[in-house]
Amino acid sequence: MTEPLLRIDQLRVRFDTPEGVVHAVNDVSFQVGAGETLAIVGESGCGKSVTALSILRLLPSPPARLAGGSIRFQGQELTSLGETALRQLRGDRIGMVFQEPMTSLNPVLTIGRRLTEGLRRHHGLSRRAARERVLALLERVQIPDPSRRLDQYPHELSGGMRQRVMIAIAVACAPSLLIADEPTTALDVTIQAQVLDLIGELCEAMGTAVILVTHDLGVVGDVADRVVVMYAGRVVEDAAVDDLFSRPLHPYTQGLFAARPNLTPTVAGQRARLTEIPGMVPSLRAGVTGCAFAPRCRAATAQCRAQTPLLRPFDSSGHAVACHHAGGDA
Amino acid sequence: MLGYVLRRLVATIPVVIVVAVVVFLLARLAGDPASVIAGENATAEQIAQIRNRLGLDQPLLVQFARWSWSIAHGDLGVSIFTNTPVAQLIVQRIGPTFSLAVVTIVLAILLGIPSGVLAAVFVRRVPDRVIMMLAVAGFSIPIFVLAYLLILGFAISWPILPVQGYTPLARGVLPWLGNLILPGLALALVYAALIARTTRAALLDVLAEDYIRTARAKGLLPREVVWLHALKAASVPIATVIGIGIALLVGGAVVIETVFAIPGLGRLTVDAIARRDFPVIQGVILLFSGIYVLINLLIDLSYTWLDPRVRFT
Repeated sequence: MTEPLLRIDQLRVRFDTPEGVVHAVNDVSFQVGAGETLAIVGESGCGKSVTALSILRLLPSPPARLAGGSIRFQGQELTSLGETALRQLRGDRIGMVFQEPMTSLNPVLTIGRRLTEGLRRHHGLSRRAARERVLALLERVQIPDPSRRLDQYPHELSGGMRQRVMIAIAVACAPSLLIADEPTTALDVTIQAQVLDLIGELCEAMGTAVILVTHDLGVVGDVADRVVVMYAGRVVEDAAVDDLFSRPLHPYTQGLFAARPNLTPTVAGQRARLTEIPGMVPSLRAGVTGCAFAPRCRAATAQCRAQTPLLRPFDSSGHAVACHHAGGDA
Repeated sequence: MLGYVLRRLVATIPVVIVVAVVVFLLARLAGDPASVIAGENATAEQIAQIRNRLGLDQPLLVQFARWSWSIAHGDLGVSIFTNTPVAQLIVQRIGPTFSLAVVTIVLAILLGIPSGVLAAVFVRRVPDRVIMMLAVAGFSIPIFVLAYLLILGFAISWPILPVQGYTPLARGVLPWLGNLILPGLALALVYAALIARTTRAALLDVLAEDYIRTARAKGLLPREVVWLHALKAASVPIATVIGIGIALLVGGAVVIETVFAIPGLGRLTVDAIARRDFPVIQGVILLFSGIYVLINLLIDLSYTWLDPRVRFT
């Protein structure tokens, strides 16, 4: 079996806060193949963004701390990589798109400045050559009148336009992997689809793999190849997108589908009424014993409360789930 | 933009009028110049004569009207002590003060901004603690104490710089600078402390912003992130505090020019107050307030250049 583009193994991230250690990411493992689109799904605070940010070591440290695990990218271990070597990957082989296009662009620098910077740093292009490349790039992300936009500042652009610029920055050096951290969350619903399509098109054309962090299952169904579902800092389910949608195994995943409005019911007895998952996300301050979802799970047993279920393959298709009762007696 | 500048300039007129009234009354509060001019053994008759010659026996309102009338015609009056026109006195003395101000501001910026950046980058670690401790010291030590300490250190114990005096720029940059470094440093440390604290605070805010993470995600060097992306975004409060520093410089200049025997406007003011030479007091303070208003306008205009989101219409 060949080495995947990115392989994360048993990743642990801790936050050292005055109130105690927060176990933000616990033994998270997944892989992304070249050109593949992986979606990481979960609700706020489940560790999906922390996982994404820790790949390029972009979390503020302190308080964040890598407490274990391995991140291998193109066969290279990133967790032990020096800051200089890592910096050469950032923006060149791995691009990032962030959630808030309003705050993720420096308000006092022009669009052109930001776009050309990465190219000039990583590919040593001259100011003029970089400008040429960037003009073509802005056209590709469908920004009208690109030469005028280059000299404009972020506040002169609309939200959707800014996110297009963010995408242009991220893909400027044609990366092998694009990490998009909730790229559409802050956008208008009408623009969300356009932006996602854009990411999809660009990455397909360049053969770029995508990690899409989102809490929107609708988005996942449209663009992802594989899906990783996270809950309370752990991966609870990992499956190909069709497989997950047709046969969600973890009670949490099932709950997520049930909580979607206007969807064909996947849980028995589902009506037009919106179902929510009862209870609250557990605090990650203390290490959780047993299944973190057990307090909210209708099928929870004594075993669930005592023993943390590990992610295990469910069938040969690569569908994996972390539940003691998945498929069988759940 | 031009309209904005014009409107701001027009808006300074009431400010100048208020300042003129206050200055006029303050100068009167200093006491009767006639008795100073007449000397200690003068008779009441002699004093009354001088008062009459200076127009001091007129009602205050009449005195003020006369003074404003001449100011409106560009005439600042004549020193009642030396009989030199006030405008001429100011022109003679403005060079040293201007030089001192320039050297002070440059030193304050060169010391303040890098220390502030360093403190922000190493926040809550040793460099930050040391710089912030020095900043508190810079605030707390009176200017004249610092001035004498500097003289003791660099002009007496280790005599590499002159103790006091002033050499015009026309006689060479090095002698000019040599005479201004110690007074400039003594004056600059307070402002450097102020600038360092502001730079640190502004930069800490900016470094926590999402766009700094974006810049890092692009693979930029830490120094590019801090000095280009972050410092530019943090520049508005820093510019404000530098501007305030320039305006506050006037008070410090009075002390420093006395300690270092620099023949500038500060000394002129102190001497004029001692002699109750009110045309000079009025003229100099009016000039200072004009400069103050102008600098404030310049700072506001600099915002448009520093932050593209600011537009004046």
